[in-house]
Amino acid sequence: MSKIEDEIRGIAKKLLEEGKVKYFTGYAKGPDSFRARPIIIDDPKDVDKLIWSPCCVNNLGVYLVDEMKKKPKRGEEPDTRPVGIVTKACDARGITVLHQENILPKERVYVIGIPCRGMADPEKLEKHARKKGLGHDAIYNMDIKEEKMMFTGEAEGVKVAFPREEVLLDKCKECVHHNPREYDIVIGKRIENPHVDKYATIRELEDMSLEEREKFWEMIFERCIRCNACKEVCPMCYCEECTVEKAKPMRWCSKSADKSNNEFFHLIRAMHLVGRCIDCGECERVCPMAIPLRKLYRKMAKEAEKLYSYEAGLNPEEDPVFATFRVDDDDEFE
Amino acid sequence: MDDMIIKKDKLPKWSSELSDYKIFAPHREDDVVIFKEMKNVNKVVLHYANSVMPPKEIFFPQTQELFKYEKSPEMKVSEAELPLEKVLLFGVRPCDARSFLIMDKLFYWDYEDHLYKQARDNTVIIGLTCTSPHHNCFCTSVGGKPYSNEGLDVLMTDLGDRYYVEVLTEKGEDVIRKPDELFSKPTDKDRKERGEIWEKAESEVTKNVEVEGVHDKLGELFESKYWDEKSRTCVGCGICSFLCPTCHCFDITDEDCGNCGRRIRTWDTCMIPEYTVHASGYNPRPGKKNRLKNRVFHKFRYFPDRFDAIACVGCGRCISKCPVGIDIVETLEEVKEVEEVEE
Amino acid sequence: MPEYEPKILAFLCNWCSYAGADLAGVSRFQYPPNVRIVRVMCSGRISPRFVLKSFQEGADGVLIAGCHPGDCHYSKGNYYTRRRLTVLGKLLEHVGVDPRRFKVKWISASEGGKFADVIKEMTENVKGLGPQRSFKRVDDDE
Repeated sequence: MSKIEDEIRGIAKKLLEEGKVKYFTGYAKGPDSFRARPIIIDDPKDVDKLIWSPCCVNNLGVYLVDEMKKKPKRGEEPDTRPVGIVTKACDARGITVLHQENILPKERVYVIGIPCRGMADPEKLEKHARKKGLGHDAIYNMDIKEEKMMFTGEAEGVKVAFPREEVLLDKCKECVHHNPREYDIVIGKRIENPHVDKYATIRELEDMSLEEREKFWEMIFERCIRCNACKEVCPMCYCEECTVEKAKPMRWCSKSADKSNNEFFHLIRAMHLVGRCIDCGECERVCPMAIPLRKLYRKMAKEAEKLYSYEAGLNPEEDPVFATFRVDDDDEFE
Repeated sequence: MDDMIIKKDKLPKWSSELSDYKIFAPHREDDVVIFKEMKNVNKVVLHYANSVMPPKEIFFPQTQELFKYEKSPEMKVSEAELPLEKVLLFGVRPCDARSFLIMDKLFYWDYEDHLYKQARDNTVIIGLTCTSPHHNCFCTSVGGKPYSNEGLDVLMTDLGDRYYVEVLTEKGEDVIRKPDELFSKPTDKDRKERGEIWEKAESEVTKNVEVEGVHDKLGELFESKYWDEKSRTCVGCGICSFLCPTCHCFDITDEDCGNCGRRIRTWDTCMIPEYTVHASGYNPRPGKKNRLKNRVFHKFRYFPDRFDAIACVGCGRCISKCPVGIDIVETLEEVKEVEEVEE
Repeated sequence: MPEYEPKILAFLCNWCSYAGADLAGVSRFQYPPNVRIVRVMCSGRISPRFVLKSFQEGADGVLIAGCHPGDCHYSKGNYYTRRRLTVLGKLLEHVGVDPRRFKVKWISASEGGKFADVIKEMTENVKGLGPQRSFKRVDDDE
């Protein structure tokens, strides 16, 4: 069992026992070796279910938005104690954006920040294990070995190693913010931020011609089945009623899942994520149709940084990028 | 009709003989396997556990036009054209084939859906025995088998360099009676081999749940706190129902563009609040718990009550793709264990 | 076959650009009839949805015009527009929409000539590009 896991459990236990938090959101063992899943616990007795492993990929911030949307029953005093939550560096930036946008007051959340060098892609783990002749549930005790730059697990009492570079999630390879900035408590040592190309995923597209890009996206947008998983797992998509689902006073986007309407949906979502997307990569991970959504949102992030020197989730005091302007902003409109 | 054998290298020849059919087969597109109209036989993939999307959209398209209207100069309404083309659906897994029978029950129920029926009648379904089930498959728990032939016209089994072809219906004969030199008679060895493969495949379906009793138990759990607990981490996306081969809910909306427009039927999912919200704004299923509960109830209680069949074929897609790891098999196990019956 | 005539949808702000278009008419500046004008109170009213919806419904080009930065009737509406639409332009380019189909111009009430020129230039460009198909809804054929 890793040290970080112990500490998470200890903190959660203390917080719950003292009644300092309403409940605690963390990760638990998932349906197979390579998937962790979110868990919400109220009882300090349950803290042993909490884990910390390279499979903790979910962004739990989405549950904070749920919490803020809850309406107390009539006549009931609302419980405004904070919610405890385990966050990786990217998830913590998401919470900063929620603070910035006045969706989540700081006193309503207790953030455990964990410096993170990246999490493992469950599919890559599975492939890697299969090569070693190990099935989806053969491995247990997955752990992160920081100093050796690898993930480890055990199968039938034997240690199994996964080289980090081979199984890392794509978004983690491009991450330059390994340390959470806003937190109530931090577990683990600070990690030196790497110098990598954070926009690597869109370079290839940027080099294409207009026609090539149009062709690239055409097939992809056609494939979308509009299951809405991308927006439901996104902590930034917190609208009570999404503009693409709204039918009153007019329907902006038809329910018809054709290329035109799918593209409308994805581009509107991309516009709504400018300067807000913290690149947790959840949308792309959950998409059943393998739509490379990060290639849209990363482009938006790049433009926001290039034009307005703005990066999402770094400074809670700053105004959101579209909620402000500078008189001498770049003007290409004449 | 007797069973047949076809060599794998003869498949392109066979498919070219079937030019009067529109052939749908599994394709790989950026790591997702989906059913698509086959233009080139080489693009077809047959080594996969199961397609990401079930082939239900051949009969029940995600977006289907019901009628069109035009206002100028007078009102003109034209009904949607019937899908008249002959379709051959190739490489369907037995679990998905069983789902068609389940969908039939609904679409042929009190009103016979003519668009669905026409598409069903025009389609020949060629199944492919599941030889390497995915670890989330649990077809054997809900009445299926990796080699089940229910709902199929032809069942093929991969024997290495050839397929064992079992013709099950007249519709199936239509596609198999084509040139004789493509097909040969199976030997006893082929039969034996097929038997072994079937057995092996069945033994590889390791996930299972005893569904006996779930129906009755659910009846006691409508008000249970269990659903609050279970739905806490659900994010409310539509993956489980959109990828489900038996989920069949739809919405009907109008697409209006000034002087013309159309009425369309689109897939809907009970996992989103908009599914049940009334015009008044009132929502009888306001929370995630109500919605998650509904999905389980629909599959394992309401549907069996009405049609005497479980609306689940055990394909495991909802388990594999759920963003937060909600597992229907685990849910059923837990349902059976839930002790308290709420006040 | 008649020559292809593009459809251009223009969103003009009430205080500057709409008056500019008016001036173009009063001054009898010639410009192509391919443009359809929608008047909005401020260019800040323009949501990216308007642009995408226009393309979806069959516009071949979309023009948005407002007061020059600094001249906004509501003092800062067009500064917000500028940020929003700059990024929208980048996004459209990223998914393969030709930037000549989507234009933002600052046209004041006194710039009737500029308005006519902008329409002329844009019509020419879009005509050269041909009909916009990428976004168009499949069902509404001509």
